[in-house]
Order: sequence, then C-alpha cells, then structure tokens
Amino acid sequence: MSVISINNISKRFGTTQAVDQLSFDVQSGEIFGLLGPNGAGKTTCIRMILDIFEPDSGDIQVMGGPMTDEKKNHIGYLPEERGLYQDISLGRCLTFLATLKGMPEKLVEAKLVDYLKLFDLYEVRDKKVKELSKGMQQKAQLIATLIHDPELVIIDEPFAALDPINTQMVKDILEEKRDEGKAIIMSTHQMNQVEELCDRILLIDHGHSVLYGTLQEIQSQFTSQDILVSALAPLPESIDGVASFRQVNGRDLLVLSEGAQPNQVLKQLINQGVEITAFEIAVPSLNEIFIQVVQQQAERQNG
Amino acid sequence: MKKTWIVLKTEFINTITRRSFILTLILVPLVPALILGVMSLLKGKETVAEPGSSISDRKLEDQLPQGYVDLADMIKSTPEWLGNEQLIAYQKEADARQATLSGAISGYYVIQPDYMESGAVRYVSREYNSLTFLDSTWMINNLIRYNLLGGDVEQFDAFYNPVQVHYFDLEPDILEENTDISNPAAFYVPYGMTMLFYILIITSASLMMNNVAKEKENRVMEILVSSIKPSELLAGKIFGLGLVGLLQLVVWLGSALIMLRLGGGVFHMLAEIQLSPGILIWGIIFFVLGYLLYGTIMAGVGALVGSVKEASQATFIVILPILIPLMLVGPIIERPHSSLAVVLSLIPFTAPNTIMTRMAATEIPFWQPLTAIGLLIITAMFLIRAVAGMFKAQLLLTGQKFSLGLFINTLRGKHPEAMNT
Repeated sequence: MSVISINNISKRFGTTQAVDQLSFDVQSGEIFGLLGPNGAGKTTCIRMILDIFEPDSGDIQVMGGPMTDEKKNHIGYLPEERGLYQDISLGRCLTFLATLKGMPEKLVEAKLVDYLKLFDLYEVRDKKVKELSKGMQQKAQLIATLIHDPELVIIDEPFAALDPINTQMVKDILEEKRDEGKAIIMSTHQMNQVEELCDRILLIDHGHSVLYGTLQEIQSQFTSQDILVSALAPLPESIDGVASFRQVNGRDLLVLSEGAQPNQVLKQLINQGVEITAFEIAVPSLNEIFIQVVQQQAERQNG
Repeated sequence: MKKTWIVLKTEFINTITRRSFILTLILVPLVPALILGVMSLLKGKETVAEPGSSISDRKLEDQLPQGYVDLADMIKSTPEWLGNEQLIAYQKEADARQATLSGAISGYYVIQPDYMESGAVRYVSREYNSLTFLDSTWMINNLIRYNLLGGDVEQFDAFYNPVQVHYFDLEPDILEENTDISNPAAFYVPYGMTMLFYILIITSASLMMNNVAKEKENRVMEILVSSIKPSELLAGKIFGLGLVGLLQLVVWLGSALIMLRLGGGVFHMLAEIQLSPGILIWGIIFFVLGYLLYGTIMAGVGALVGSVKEASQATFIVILPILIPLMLVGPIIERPHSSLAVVLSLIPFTAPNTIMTRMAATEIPFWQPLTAIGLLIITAMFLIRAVAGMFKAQLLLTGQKFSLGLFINTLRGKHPEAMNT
C-alpha cells in the first residue's frame, strides 16, 4: 500500500529549480532511502511532502489523499537541522512536542518514561536541554520523532552524532517499525547504512530523479564482469580472459576481457593449482555507484 | 484550535517558571516596598496623615507628646485639629521638666516672655535628636501661628495656603485646566505610569520577538511547522505571552496601588496621590491593546530575521513610536488637554502610553479613550492579519537581514524569495 505517492512535482526558488518533475512512491513496511548530494533537492522534497512548502506543480498524495492536519499527527519528522528548546527541561520539551502531535498529556507521560529509559535519558529528564551532550540531544530528537507511533517516519541523517551502540539501537528501532508496517523515508549520506537498511532508494541530483528502485536492481545495473578473488598464494601473472588485475582491500580484482566468462577463469585458476579461498562477482558498492552517477551528472551539466 | 491552546499554555508556563521572570516579577515591587518599610522604621515617630488631608486636618499619632510653657502669655486657644494630647500645656517649667524626666512627654518648649520682640523659644528634652526634632517643630510653630492670627481657623488656612493656582490654556473657544506640576505627586505619578506602560509593553513584545527568533535560531521551527499551522502557532504565542504581560501588569500596578495607600503613612507626598482602582481596568485594556500591537509587530520581526542578535538590533526601529510619549512626557503631564496630548492619544502606536499618562495626571473626556480603543483594535486586527501572512513556513525557515523597507514589504505580502533546498 502506498503511503506516499508523488507525481511530477516541481519547485522553484527564484532562479533555482530545486525539484524538477520528480515522481516516486513509498510503501508501508519499507525503509526508503532518499539520497543525493548536498543541494540536490532532498530537503525541499521532504518539506513538500510535509506540506511545509507547496509544490509549484504536480501532485502529492499522503496516506491516500492530500495532507491534512490530522494526517500530520501520524507523521514523525527528524529534520536535517536539529533543534530543541534549549532553556527548558528535556521532559517538558518532549511533552510539548508530543502533545503538538495530538497525543493526550497522560499518554505522553506514560510513553515518555519508556522512551527515556530506552534511550538512557531518564536520569537527565529534568535537566535543561542545553546541558545535554550532542549525542543525548540527538537521541531526544529521535524520541520526539517516534513517541506518537507515526505511520510515516521521515528522518534526515538519523545516525549523526550517535556512537556505535546507539547507532545499532536506532537501526534496530527502524527495522522494528518497518516490521510493524510503518513507512520510513531515510535521507543520509552514509551509504553503508543505506545498503544495510533500505529496501528501495531514490537518488536525486539537481532536483531530478537519477536512480530509483530496489537496491538489488540498482546494483545489478552497475555490475560488470569483474571478479574478486582471494588466494593463499599470488595469482599467476597471466590468466586467459583477464585483461588486468589489481589489489583491492587485500584481494585481487580481476577485470575480464570482453567475452570472457567468470566460470572459465575460475576453472583455469583451479587447473593451475591456485588455492582459492574466495571467488565472487564484484558488485559495486552504493557509495561507488553514488559517486559514479553524481560525477556523470556533473560532467553532463558542464559538458 | 487545540494546538493553539497547547502553544498558549506552554509559552505561559515556560515563561512564568523562568527564574529571571520570577525575580523580576517580585523584585520590581519588592524594592520600593522595602525602601518604604525602611523609611517607615527610620521615621518611627513621624506623623501620619490621611490621603488628601490638609494641614489643618492632620491627626497626630506621636508615640510621646510634647509639652510647652507659655511665659509670654500669648497662647489663648488650641485648634481642634491639634488637640490637647500631642502638645500639652504646662503652667510652670518645673512641671514640664518633671513630666519629661518621668517619660510622660519627650520634651517641652518654653515660649520666652519677650517672644513678641525676640521670637525666642527654648526646647528642653532628655535626649536631643536633631532629625526628629526638626520633624516635630511644626506643631508648636502652627500653634503659635494660629494664636498670632487671633485663633481664626479660616485665616490660618488662608495664611498657610495663600494661593490656589489653576492653570488654563488660552485658546479661541475652550479653556482647559492644566496640571500643577509644582506638586511633585502630580508630576511623578503620571511619569511613573508612562514608564510602567513603556516597560510592560516593550518587555512583553520583546519577549514575543525573542521567542520567535530563538525558535528559528534553535532550529525548532521546522519541527513546529510540520506539526501545527503557522497561524495557530502565532495565535498561541500572542495570547500566551500576552497573559504573561498581563500577570506582570496586575502584580506591578496592584502593588503600586497598595504601596500608595500604605506609603501615605511614611511620605506625605504619597498620601496626596489618588489613583482610582478604575485606572487598573483602563490599564489592563490599554496594556492588552498596546501589547497586541507591538507584540504582533515584534513577532513579525522575529519571523523575518535569522537570530536573536539580529532581532535585538531591529528592536529600536520598531519601538520608536512608543518612545515618543516618553520623550514628550513633560509637556503631556503639564498640559494633558493640549492638542499634542490628544493627537498622541488617538494615534494607535502612541495611544496606550499617552492615555495612561494623562489618566494618571487628570480626568480626560470619555470619548478619547473610547476612540483610542476603537482605533487600536482596528490597527491590531490589520497587523495580526498581515503578520499571520508573514508566519509562512518559507519565511520561518530562512533568515533575512532586517531593514524597515523589507519589513514593510513583507507585511504588505511581498515576501522575499527564500532560498532553501
């Protein structure tokens, strides 16, 4: 079921086309990666989904229709520019933000205790927000995003300022929410986290959609015939069907000649007595795909 | 509407529980109250006068009376208002001396036999204190004056207050009475009212501006506008912080009224000041309207700029109109019915201060505060609509460098292009 359905939205600020004819949808029960270089139009796109900005053209359907005040109560939003009231206590700050999402104060009180304990912030609930560390404030913002049990979660760089333990905890929570059938849009530059968590991604650049689909689909688009090999001894200097090879992270990356098949190369290595411990088709990482695509876009823009 | 209420409640509670607010709320009336208390202790034996009384009505409450011995045989009668308890007549100095030694009186005057030629009077006491002595000589002075004038109360009053000046403007058709500014109370009470209203309105309005600017600076605004309509946010803030200002007004003005009543026991000047409780009601009305006007403008400034620092720099330009009655407070108090005072009372941006200053100085025609209220309501409604238009997400999520031109253009709905991707 589509929680968000976006059709050909555009937004211009002055002379800058922030978003240009963008279309995508987000399903319930998935983590959707919204990716792109700085200034690509991600934040504008998110703000249009949240009805903070109105698109110049196009159509946005949220939970089956246009955005309403009631629907806003079912959305959790962690913006890129973090912010909390600095001069009041953590408890009062989170209570205010939760009640603005339509939660009764009594319910907030009960759920807040659980969340504060989960995020290890219960002991500092009476401290002023400005007295908390950056990591603590980041966790507090995550509580504000999740406490009202939203159907749609939009999070921008959720792992910034978190240590590995808290990063893992947030990942677990996001996966748990996905399993509960919530839709999650995650915008981040940490490609390893995207690979680990996201079911589908949209890569935008200069307001355009550049890549859109499941992670596997996209990676397969960029997969070549290259092979990664680990062996106990150095590989022979010449292997039929291999154009060149180089070391990558302690392994040998074999670039195959045109028409050569990985199976033939494997057979040849075994016949030559090479003791192989790992042999796999080299799938490009999302990071590599990101850099490649964005660079290509930049060349196209300049050329 | 529910979210407006949540914002209102939160803003009110967050502000009134702030330590700096509580201290200001309490200390502002507490400091003058302490001064009054200390002065009261120091002047322990001073006389007390009823508010509005003249010299001849004074009731004496000295802890110890004084005595006198009339060797010149000139005291024929004692006025009623002086009574026989505070200044006791003795036939012989020995009796007066005995009364002093026994503690029945604090001391005694001896009017010398050649008083009519020399004016000589001796004062004898157990412990001479120059401060309290100077304060208490008015009784014997007035007793002698009274008898020199043949014991006639009317003549005495006429002698004591020979001139009752009434000030008038000479204008083609009307003669309006002005304020006697030679009377300190007649000047300082309206002046105090001007200052009080200036401080109250500007404090509350600045609170509003800082609040909005701080939310932008703290970057909470984006979370807020994804949860609540900007116009609901504005309404919640205006009413929440307005209530804070109202609380300050009631506490400060109420304390001032109480102090004026109690202070009469310490300072005769305070006793002569009469502020009707009705001024509190007018005060609340004009504070609310003044706050709505300036608070809304300040909210607009907060929405426009990017930080609290920039907002503070913009404050002076915005509050300039409310400074006008402050700068012209002398002429307004001296001539509360002049054209200048009336015009300033009707201009919405100067009306709250000017009207309250004039009301503290004199009675003003009823149509003037009513017209001022009408004009203030119309202007405030216009401004609230215009600033609600400024409370758009696109503006709240960006920061502009403040200029009056930009502010007016934005108020008119010509938003600057906000760049944010």
